[in-house]
Amino acid sequence: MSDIIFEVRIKGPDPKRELIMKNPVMTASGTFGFGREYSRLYDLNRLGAITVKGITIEPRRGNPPPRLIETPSGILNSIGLQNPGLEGFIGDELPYLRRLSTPVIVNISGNTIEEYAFLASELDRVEGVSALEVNVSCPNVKEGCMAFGIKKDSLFSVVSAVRKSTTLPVIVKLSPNVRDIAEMAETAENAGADAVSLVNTFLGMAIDIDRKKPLLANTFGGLSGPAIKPIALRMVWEVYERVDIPVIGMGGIMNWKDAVEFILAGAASVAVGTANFVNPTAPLEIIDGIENYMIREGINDIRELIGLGHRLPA
Amino acid sequence: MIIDDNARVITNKMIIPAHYVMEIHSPDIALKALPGQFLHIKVTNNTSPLLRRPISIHMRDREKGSISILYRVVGTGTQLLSHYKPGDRINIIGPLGNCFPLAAEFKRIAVVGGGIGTAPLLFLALEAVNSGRDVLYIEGARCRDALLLSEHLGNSGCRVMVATDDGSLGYRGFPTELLKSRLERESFDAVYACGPKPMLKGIKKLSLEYRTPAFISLEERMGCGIGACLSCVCKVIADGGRGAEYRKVCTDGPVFPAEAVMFDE
Ligand SMILES: Cc1cc2nc3c(=O)[nH]c(=O)nc-3n(C[C@H](O)[C@H](O)[C@H](O)COP(=O)(O)OP(=O)(O)OC[C@H]3O[C@@H](n4cnc5c(N)ncnc54)[C@H](O)[C@@H]3O)c2cc1C
Ligand SMILES: Cc1cc2nc3c(=O)[nH]c(=O)nc-3n(C[C@H](O)[C@H](O)[C@H](O)COP(=O)(O)O)c2cc1C
Ligand code: FES
Repeated sequence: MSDIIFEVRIKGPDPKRELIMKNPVMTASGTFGFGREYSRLYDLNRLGAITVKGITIEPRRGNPPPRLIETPSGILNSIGLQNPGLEGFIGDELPYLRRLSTPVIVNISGNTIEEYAFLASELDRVEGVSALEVNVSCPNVKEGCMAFGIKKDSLFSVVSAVRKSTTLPVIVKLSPNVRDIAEMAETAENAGADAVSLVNTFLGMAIDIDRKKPLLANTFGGLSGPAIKPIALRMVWEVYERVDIPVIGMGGIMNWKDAVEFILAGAASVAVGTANFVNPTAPLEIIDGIENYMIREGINDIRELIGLGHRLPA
Repeated sequence: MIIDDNARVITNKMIIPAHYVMEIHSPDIALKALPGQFLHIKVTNNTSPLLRRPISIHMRDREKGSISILYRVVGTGTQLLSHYKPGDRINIIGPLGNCFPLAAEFKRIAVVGGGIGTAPLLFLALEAVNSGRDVLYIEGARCRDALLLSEHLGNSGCRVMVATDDGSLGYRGFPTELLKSRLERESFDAVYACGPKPMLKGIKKLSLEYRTPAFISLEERMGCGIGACLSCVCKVIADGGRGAEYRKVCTDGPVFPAEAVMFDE
């Protein structure tokens, strides 16, 4: 419809394995299943990329219910990484995803550095995977995961190990549950990350005043949705100033205006999470909305918009 | 395909205090809907409450292209729902979930609804009667004034029995006790139930005791309603009885065979 350049690329070590998105809108891990669920509502080929539910080597049963609590303009979840495991993913979910023209980003989690490296090397050889998103920020599992994302040295070790195990683009998903997120982003970059994504959910909780007990069976959960947007946006802004690799922004993006804010703050691409639950066609409306905004503003290339908020005089 | 519809509200009426029936014009959903399925309803354009609300399909009228829901006002979401007026647009996604399995060999069935749980069962009972089945409909409520369906059931073609906790109408006690007394006297090919957890637990027990397959509709907090977020799980027996696994109420259910459901965590 227009001549707008909407393409976003994330380069890895192998020039032939670049992640190429036709538009800057992807889905956030854990909020879009393995894609198939939403394919019953619209054509997934319109998305820039699909990030699938986080996988681990072995299948995981997840936490007991209740796993979800609504909070003011947000939700707290404690799914606990329920997933079919690496083999289940490759055998049962990937064949469908492979048929799409939309690139697939696989979100991976491990309990040890070796597990992250193993997942990365196994997925490196699998057809239909376009990039890895290293989840070092899940707040809902007891061992591992977030523990890796909140200390600089363990983050460096995990990212280096993954980097050595694959030539796919490596995106490191940062935890917002840290004092200095820009420092963590810089650490990921130094360890060889090709991009960083932020934010994962904020650790939170809710208490039932009648039963006088935590509402989530797992006590704590991860907060997402519009309630976290201002903090997520600030973090994207800070990280953009510190690193040279692309930033993927997420956290409370409900509509195209939210998405444009993240792009102006420095996000090369945005991910839609909780909004999928509220309005399943939100990603499509966001794609159209960004495009219309660019036309209105006379901007032809999405790259002109990325981080523009930092460059204009106040 | 799942239908995402900005549908028109036809009527939204209070039937007894805090309980409403809303009829919605949505021809595509009316055409496809099966008993036991539900809608995921966006009750506001604001961000509080943020999530949609799952509500069962209570009735449908294919000719008119409409579906109805029967809901109880318990909190903010259902309160907002009760404010919709005829002509308003409401965003619904559906039909979602599996359905009550009405196998051809299930000729004599019992349907047991407790409280608001009776909402999805009218649709089922009417389909069953229309396909020539013998249907016993047991409705349970706190008291006579809390009964929701007796009016429709009168000329539905079902045999109707009522249980009230206080004995103000029909059997005094729980609908499960009433069902047990029927199971002593007649045999059913299948039992279908929806209601509070303790009632469903009782149905499971009766199903095992009388060797009658029972299908129960469960509730859990939902995020997406379409199987993507894994928030709505319930525990079911796996590995031939040795283990347990979590299944999604929104897509693997809401209807599960009673024997498979594990009620105690
Ligand atoms: C598949 C399915 C079908 C349903 N069908 C119907 C129906 O036909 N009619 C009807 O009235 N209700 C139905 N419900 C329950 C309905 O979804 C909840 O009552 C509603 O979401 C409450 O929203 P609220 O904002 O008014 O209450 P909230 O403010 O969210 O909660 C108020 C109170 O209701 C309880 N509650 C909230 N959600 C649920 C839930 N999903 N299950 C049990 N208790 C809950 C809370 O614990 C709290 O005590 C169904 C639920 C499911 C999962
Ligand atoms: C139900 C649910 C499950 C999630 N599962 C994962 C996961 O498996 N891996 C991961 O990296 N992030 C997971 N997330 C975090 C999201 O990808 C996203 O970072 C977060 O929700 C913030 O974005 P939002 O506010 O747009 O939802 C999950 C979030 C939710 C709500
Ligand atoms: S509500 Fe999302 S999986 Fe069931």
